Amino acid sequence: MTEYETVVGLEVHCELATATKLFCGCRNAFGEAPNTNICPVCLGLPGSLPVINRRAVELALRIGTALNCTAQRSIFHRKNYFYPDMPKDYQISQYDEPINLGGFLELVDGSRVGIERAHMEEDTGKTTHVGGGGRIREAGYSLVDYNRAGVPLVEIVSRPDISSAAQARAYVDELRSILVATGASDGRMEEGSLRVDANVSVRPAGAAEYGTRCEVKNLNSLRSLERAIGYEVARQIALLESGERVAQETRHWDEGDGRTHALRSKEEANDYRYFPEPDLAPLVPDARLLAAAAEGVGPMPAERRRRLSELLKAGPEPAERRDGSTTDQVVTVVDLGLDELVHGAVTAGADPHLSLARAANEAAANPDAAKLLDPIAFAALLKMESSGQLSATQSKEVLAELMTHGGDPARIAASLGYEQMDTAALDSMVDDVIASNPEEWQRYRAGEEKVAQFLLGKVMRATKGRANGKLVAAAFAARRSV
Amino acid sequence: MGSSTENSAFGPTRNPWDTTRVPGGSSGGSAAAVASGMVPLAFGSDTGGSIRQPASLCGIVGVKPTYGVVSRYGLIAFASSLDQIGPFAATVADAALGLEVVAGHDPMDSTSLDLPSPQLLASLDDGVSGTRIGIVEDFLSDVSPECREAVVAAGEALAAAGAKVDRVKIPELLLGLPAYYIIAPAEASSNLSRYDGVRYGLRVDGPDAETMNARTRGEGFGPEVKRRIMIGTYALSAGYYDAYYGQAQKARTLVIRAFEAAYRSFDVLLTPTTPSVAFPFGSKVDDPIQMYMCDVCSIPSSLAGHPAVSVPFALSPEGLPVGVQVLAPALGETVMMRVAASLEAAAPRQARGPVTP
Repeated sequence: MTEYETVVGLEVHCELATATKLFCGCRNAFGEAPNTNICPVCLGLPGSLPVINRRAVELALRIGTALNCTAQRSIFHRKNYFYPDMPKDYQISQYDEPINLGGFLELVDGSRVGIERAHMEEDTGKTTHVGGGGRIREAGYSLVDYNRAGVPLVEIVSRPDISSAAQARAYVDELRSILVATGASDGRMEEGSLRVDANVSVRPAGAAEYGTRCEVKNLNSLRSLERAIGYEVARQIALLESGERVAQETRHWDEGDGRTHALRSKEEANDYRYFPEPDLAPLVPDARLLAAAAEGVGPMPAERRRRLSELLKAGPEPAERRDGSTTDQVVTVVDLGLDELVHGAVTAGADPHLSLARAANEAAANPDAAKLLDPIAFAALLKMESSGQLSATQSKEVLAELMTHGGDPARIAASLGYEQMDTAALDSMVDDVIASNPEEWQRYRAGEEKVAQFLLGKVMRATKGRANGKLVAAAFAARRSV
Repeated sequence: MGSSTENSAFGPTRNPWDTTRVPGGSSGGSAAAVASGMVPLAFGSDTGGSIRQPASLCGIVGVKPTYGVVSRYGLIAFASSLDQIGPFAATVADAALGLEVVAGHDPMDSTSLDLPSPQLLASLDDGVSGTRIGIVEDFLSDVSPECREAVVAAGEALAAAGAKVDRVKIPELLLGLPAYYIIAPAEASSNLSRYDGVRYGLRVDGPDAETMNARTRGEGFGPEVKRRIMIGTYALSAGYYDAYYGQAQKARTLVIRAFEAAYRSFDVLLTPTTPSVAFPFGSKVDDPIQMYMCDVCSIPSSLAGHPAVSVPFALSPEGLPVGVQVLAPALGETVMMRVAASLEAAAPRQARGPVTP
């Protein structure tokens, strides 16, 4: 059988996190009652005119900067098509002179995917076709919600540099972190803030020409993206292997049956009759706008992951890892924007690996609160844990409290009753447990390690969890070796 | 749309000078209202001549300002890159006042210029001494004798008032008409697609959505509008864009450059407003090209976004008003209106409205 290689290019539509829409002052908000965030402009009332949202331009430039694109003078075009989701019957988009041109995105594994362009356009309204399988022609009736009409979008078009479903997923995942990191988008795929279309083709390995591509739509999660590309690649290879040809078409991913289905060609055969939008002036990014955009773009996730990994090399690798791999933790922490917290804690003297683990697991449970954590207080807590002053469980409890209410970790520990028990009290507690559980003690002495947990549990229960587990375990171990 | 009001859904408007004749168009209603004395001031929208041509045919003053001087917010768009609102009045001073009032920046219109309203009245009577005026020869050959003679006489009157009057050839301006009849329909085809019976405009029901759409657009639009929608849609279609819309944009650029060159030597240009005086109803309605030719003199400044004004200057042998057009470079309204005022002073009083039909 011929070896095939996969060629994928992705088009990602990203809704910009602006307060208002692209061409009018209506609120840009998700999930509100239908047709409440609308006005003459986004409803296309005759006589209304668009006025560009400066903030949207700034965010679009930020995305371009983050993706290593070149910002240029751009113009808007009208994309004409007859469909009820656009009240004007045309979408204002960018065509052959986009705001951001050329660039690349570096993935977690170090590979690079080229960026063709990242252009601005307005979102369409949301149509719901009721009855007839959700298609407009067969529907009993259709509902339109124009809240989304005019919401600013940036469409990021990759080069066909992606060679597997997994890489496609990694690309979107990385792109998402960048969009969130720059503040350009909330990156919520489930709310449609991020929408992905995949152009998929296969060709015999090493072939110079691209195969015929299909555009796959309706990819609403990273999982469906990966599954759909996997399915589509297998389908195309099967066609070629059986001597058939791949037809260039738009295909709809069905999450339910795990297949892609060709859309009726009648629905896709569109001539958009693009022409320059006469209602808008060309967009010339002035120095002030470019500066504002550059300021909003900090180091990119790839760079931040590198910095965080460097930090970990400084500290010793912990013997035992229970909380997932360091790489995953680094990705999570950078993704959630908690890397500055870790850097701050380490600078204040905390152990790098412990800082990372607590940030990637406990702090990550509530990233918004975690971002507000004082790195000094966070470091103080981690130092208490490293020194054995607090058990891991106690440390996590204190961290939770620190994130909800703030304060001083030592005081929180005290108020939770986690002040360290003095050694004498602990010793007598251990002796009591040995005395009242002679059978288990003998088994432990005979080398039955799992009984240790039972004995430890007794002490913990007696101290209501205040005892430091490590110290208690050490006390039992010391008595056994006598 | 069109140069006669015969395409209006509300029926044609009659010319107050001779009610068997058209008032010009498309803003012929506004022109007739001023020309008949119903109102002292009216506004119209001018895309290729829709203010100036009816002003000329009705013996009144009609101004198309520089593109961007008057906000288009609220104006039903025909061809967005060309549409401008401007005043009709019986006198240059009234028209100047009307324009001063409505001009100025509007943040709701991105193409609105961020400039204060022009001060026209203050210098309206300062005369034309030393003003360099070019008579565009290219528009003198294919127009009726009375229209040609009016321009020649207007040049003489301005020279007598101290202006430096010369002739100039700007053949590129003749590219304006064919370019316009691609660009304007292209934009119109896009602007008018929202009138589909669901979103906006008339609705004529049918058994299904497609039939409803077809009936709505079939009955809601007259033949001239349909013609332009078809021309515009065709001109923008894949495979034809470069040959039509692309070429038309290049022609538009040539017109703009030719004007730029001419305005190095002249402060304003003088042309007929229209190729003929008001014509009888029905005489051109079946010949769209003849109808389009009515705009040949007014279209170039529309394509360039420049201001222009039509001033009544003479009467034809049949007693119909003949206008002349003063063109100026972008934002040249002040000198343009001053020249218009000089022409008005030199014109016979009976050449301008209001008249009693």
